[in-house]
Amino acid sequence: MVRFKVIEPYTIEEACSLLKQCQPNAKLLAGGTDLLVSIRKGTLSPELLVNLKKIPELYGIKENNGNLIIGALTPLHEVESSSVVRSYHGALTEAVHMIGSIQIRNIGTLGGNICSAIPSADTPPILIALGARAKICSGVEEREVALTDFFKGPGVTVLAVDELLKEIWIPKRKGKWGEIYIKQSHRAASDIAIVGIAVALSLNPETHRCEDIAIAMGAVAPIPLRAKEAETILKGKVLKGEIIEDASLAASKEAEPISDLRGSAYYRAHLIQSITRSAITKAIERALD
Amino acid sequence: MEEKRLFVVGQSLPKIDSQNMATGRTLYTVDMKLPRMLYGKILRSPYPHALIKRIDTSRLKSLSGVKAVISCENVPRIPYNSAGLPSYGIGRHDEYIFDKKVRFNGDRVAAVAAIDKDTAEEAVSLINVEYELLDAVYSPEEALRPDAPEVQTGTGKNCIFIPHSIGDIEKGFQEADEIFEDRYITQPVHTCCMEPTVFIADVDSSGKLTIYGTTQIPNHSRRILSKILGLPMSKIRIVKPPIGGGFGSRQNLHHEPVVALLALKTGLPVKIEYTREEEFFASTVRHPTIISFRTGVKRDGTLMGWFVKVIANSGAYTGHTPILVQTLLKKNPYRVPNEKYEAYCVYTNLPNSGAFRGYGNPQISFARECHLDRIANELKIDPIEIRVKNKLRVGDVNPLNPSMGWTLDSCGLEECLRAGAQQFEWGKKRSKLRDLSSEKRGGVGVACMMHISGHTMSADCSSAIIRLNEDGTATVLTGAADLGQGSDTVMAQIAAETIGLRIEDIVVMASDTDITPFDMGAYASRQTYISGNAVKMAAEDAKAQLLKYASMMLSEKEAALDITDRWVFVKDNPQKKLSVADVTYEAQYGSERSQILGRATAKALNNPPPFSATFTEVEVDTGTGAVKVSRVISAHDVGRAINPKLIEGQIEGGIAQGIGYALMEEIHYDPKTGATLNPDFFDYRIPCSKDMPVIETILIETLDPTGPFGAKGVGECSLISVAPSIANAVHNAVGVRIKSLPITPEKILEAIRQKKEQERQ
Repeated sequence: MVRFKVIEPYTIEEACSLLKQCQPNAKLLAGGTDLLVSIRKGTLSPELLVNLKKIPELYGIKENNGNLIIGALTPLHEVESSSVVRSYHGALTEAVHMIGSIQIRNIGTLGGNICSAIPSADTPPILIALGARAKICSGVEEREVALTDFFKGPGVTVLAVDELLKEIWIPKRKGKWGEIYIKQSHRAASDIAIVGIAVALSLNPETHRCEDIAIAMGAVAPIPLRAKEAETILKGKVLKGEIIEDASLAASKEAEPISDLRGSAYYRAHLIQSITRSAITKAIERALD
Repeated sequence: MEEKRLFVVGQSLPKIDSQNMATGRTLYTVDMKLPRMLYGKILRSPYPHALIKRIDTSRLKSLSGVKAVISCENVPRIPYNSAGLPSYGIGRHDEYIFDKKVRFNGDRVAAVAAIDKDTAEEAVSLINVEYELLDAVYSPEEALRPDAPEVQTGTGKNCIFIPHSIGDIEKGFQEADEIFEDRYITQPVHTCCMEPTVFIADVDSSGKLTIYGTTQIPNHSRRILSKILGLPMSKIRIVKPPIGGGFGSRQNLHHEPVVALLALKTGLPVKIEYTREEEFFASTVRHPTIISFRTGVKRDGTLMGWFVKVIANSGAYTGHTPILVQTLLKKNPYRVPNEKYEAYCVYTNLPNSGAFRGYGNPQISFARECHLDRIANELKIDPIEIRVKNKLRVGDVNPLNPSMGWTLDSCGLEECLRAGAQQFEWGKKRSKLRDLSSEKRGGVGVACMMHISGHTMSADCSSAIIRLNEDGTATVLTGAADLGQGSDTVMAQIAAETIGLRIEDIVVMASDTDITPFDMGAYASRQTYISGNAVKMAAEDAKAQLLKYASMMLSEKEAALDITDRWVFVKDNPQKKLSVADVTYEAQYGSERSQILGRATAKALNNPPPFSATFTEVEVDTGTGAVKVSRVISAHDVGRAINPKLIEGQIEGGIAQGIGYALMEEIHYDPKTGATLNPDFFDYRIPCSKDMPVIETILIETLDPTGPFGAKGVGECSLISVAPSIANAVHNAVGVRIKSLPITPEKILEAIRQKKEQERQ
């Protein structure tokens, strides 16, 4: 039988110190939609769960100096229904809407979706493409890392034993940006990505040359990946058929997909190319819109 | 003959159990708790094939709360076949409550009963089993090789061979202009019932055993248990409470004998509920098959003969397999003068295959309908016209059981095709090339099927009793098992219509072997046709008795009277009438002192096949290989729609299951250990609401003369031709034929790639 203790601290300091004392057998509990499933399956068996739900400062969506700030404990459904989020980045709203089902999104949190560090998670690719930064807190100190540097492997992040993810900061951008996340799954909802590709790009309003671009890929490697070579191919160019094709192929070569029940590595490589092509094309449409 | 006006039959009345279900008041077995009830847990084999050398339960002594442990060491080894059917002689008895050998990863080894679930789980983990491992085999083709490990001793090459032929196949091929050959593969899938397989056994001080649980076959279950437990049927009562789904997977005995033995041993009620994971490997799956067709056809599309070979993977035990392959061969809606069949039931070290909505028909129809689509295409005949040309016709021998001498009295296949085609705008849609965008292609497909109205091995039968209460209401006793499909409601409608009552006057008591009369159970799309006929005949018996008393009370001849809407009236003078309540009161309390009891046993006079045609429109993304089913029209010859809304619901559910079968569902096994790799809803996907297309249903009423009010079977039909209609639509869209289910995006992309390569060469 599965037995564990649950403690509900009221402050980040308390949570972090509990976490530190009980390593390696403690886990942070946010929504629990990943953690509790793993415990039931027996893949994780923590002795202590530090439930974060009673810490008010971990919640909420706000703006600060042109940054969109989302508290790590904010439920996914709140993120997808926020008009503030939508006004900044409609593509983030769309990506969050693609996660699980409405029931899952009511319980699951943005921070949980990131910190579980599941390779197929839907929010990391779009957040990375949007240039998001993670605010990390140990109770005593705070630090910040670019989300693209946050992941170390499946289930592993840069968080130290006494640290937790406090907030996600997303900068507001100037100019004509087009942003999109495309997820391919076997089922239209309640499913995880076979491949998920996010693209954010800006075009020069006169020349339509690509001034800036970020492509991030999920479910294609142990961690979410930036398609750096694909980005280099596109940057500074007028984005047309052949260049997009070259970049999509490059993205597919940068990925390290595995074979599993959802699809073979070969199929995933093909999908990455096909979805990257669609995502770039769609992002251009949005930038020109 | 002028048709009598119907008042209750033909109406889309709400299900009589819907209020309790909608408000959560329905008590399912999984929610039931009896006083002092123990919880059981089954220990399962971690190996695909092994001999049990020793079972050591000594460590259980230190665990308090364990009440009983059973295994092959203390349970008699009595062979049985778990398939819920009458025994036809071709079903081997090769299952045991516990055997000294395990034959698949997940096979039963031992069981415990304890004071709570946690203790039971801990207890099974403390049992030490010493195994001697044996070589295992998973693929039927490998299992047929002479050097393959023997899964079932005494079967020779792991196989039961069933041949069947009509006419002269060589002559058929000689007379043909063209010969076509194709080979198809279907995958194991699971019914995914909402309520897990669960049984509670209770035993009283007289030794009487009562079992509540998820069964579709209370009477077969009692018969099999009586044999393996050595108890007379009078000491076994099987009750089927409301049940969260069946779809055929409960047409088997599951762990009833285990809970029964634990209850008998402890003298206390015992409950065992499968986990969702156990559902996938410990209940049954739809038979995976390899089916090849070699067909001779005239240039005008006339079928001259076919040679069909079916290899069905039975899993570790015989179960339904021989009956299933024998009957699937006959579920063919076309005239084929020369037929040769070879069916191989093959044993492997995989979980048991069993009944699942269609009983072999989804597999054979996938193969046949895709094959026919290819033939039509290559002969440049419209897929509808090749089907109409070859269809069975009224007056033909009923192919389901030629030895019975039955003919087809109704056949609405062409009506289904024509009505469906018109509503679908088939001609227009098929002729148009549909590039929906740079990467998306549209396509349309059609497929047909013929199914059954009752089991096909011999004449089916059922009994019913109707008890009239003194206030004019009635209780119907039927063995029909309502699995959510609505048989209780249909029986109430048939009884109300036949007697002349309203549906709210009818109480239905069903599926309790101590109370309700014999019925085979809910399978073979038989409840409306067979049990419905029994209820109708019992209601006619009750009505005749009612009219006898009414004739005395009204001083009119019985033949001059009729009953409608609770009134007995004189047909020529409707003002002269009595309420049914007055008549039943007089019968009960008047000078006769006699309760009106109608009774009947209905022996099937035929097995009228229902027919259907499914039209499907798809969008195929050539970039990702993904298929979206955008529209399905399902036209069914149902004989008579007793309750149109219930039928529509069944059709929609069947289409959802059919889309899952066609596009995404598949159980995967570890090639080294035979373990089920995706026993959960995370990696075993069934369609969700967003995957569902627009569905339109068309009900064709051909009024079969032997059905109650003309009705035929419906339950299984709608699933059967969904997969081939999707496969044919995919071919129409992108020009590739996917011959193995499920039709995954990966298979489509690979086929497109190969096609391009061939075109380049």
